[in-house]
Amino acid sequence: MGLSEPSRRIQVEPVKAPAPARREPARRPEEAPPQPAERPAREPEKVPG
Amino acid sequence: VGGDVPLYSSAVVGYRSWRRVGDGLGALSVQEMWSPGTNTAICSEPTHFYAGHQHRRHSGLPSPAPGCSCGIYAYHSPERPMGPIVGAVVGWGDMEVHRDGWRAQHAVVVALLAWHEVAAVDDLTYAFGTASEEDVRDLAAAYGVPVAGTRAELEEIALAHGQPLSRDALPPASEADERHVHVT
Repeated sequence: MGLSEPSRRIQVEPVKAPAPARREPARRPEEAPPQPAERPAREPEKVPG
Repeated sequence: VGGDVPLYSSAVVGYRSWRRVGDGLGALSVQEMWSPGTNTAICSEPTHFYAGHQHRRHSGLPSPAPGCSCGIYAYHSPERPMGPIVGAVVGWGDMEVHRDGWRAQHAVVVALLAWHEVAAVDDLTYAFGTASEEDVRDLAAAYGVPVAGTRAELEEIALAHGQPLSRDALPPASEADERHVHVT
């Protein structure tokens, strides 16, 4: 491809590094990440009174 | 870079075309392949088969250099590129801005245009072959970019990755441009 002349010099220093938006493949329900096991509610500690 | 070179802080959006070469995007006018992620221009041995290019090597200097035709090319307008595969890119680093497009030191592909939007056979598809709907889908997956259904959507996606250049950034119109304006 050819471009028209003349040209003008510029400098571009992006604050944020450009990158393509990686497309995450659709996650199927069976592929859902394992959730951390729920901790049983702790009983309040008995403090001798 | 001299102190009189304008400095911009956002990557610049552009639009261009490619042909399919194996599993990748190949430039139309030089024997260069595009990589997923950042592509960096080099001034290499002349491999042009595009009429009118005068390619002069300047080893050791960054590309694009003023007075040379090297660099990564794109048009300003999403309506402009034709050919087998059309897409959006953003460019940055040292850049040479022309009235109809730019040449950049670095660029990344950010989206491809759906096959049905570029399926018309033009001079470039005669020269470089066609790409199928499956080709565009496969290439988009390989480069990690979405497929835009229309040129308007292509522009919308591109604008999430950079900004277009303002008219102030463009070089003055050449005498040839002026003559063209008067003729039309």
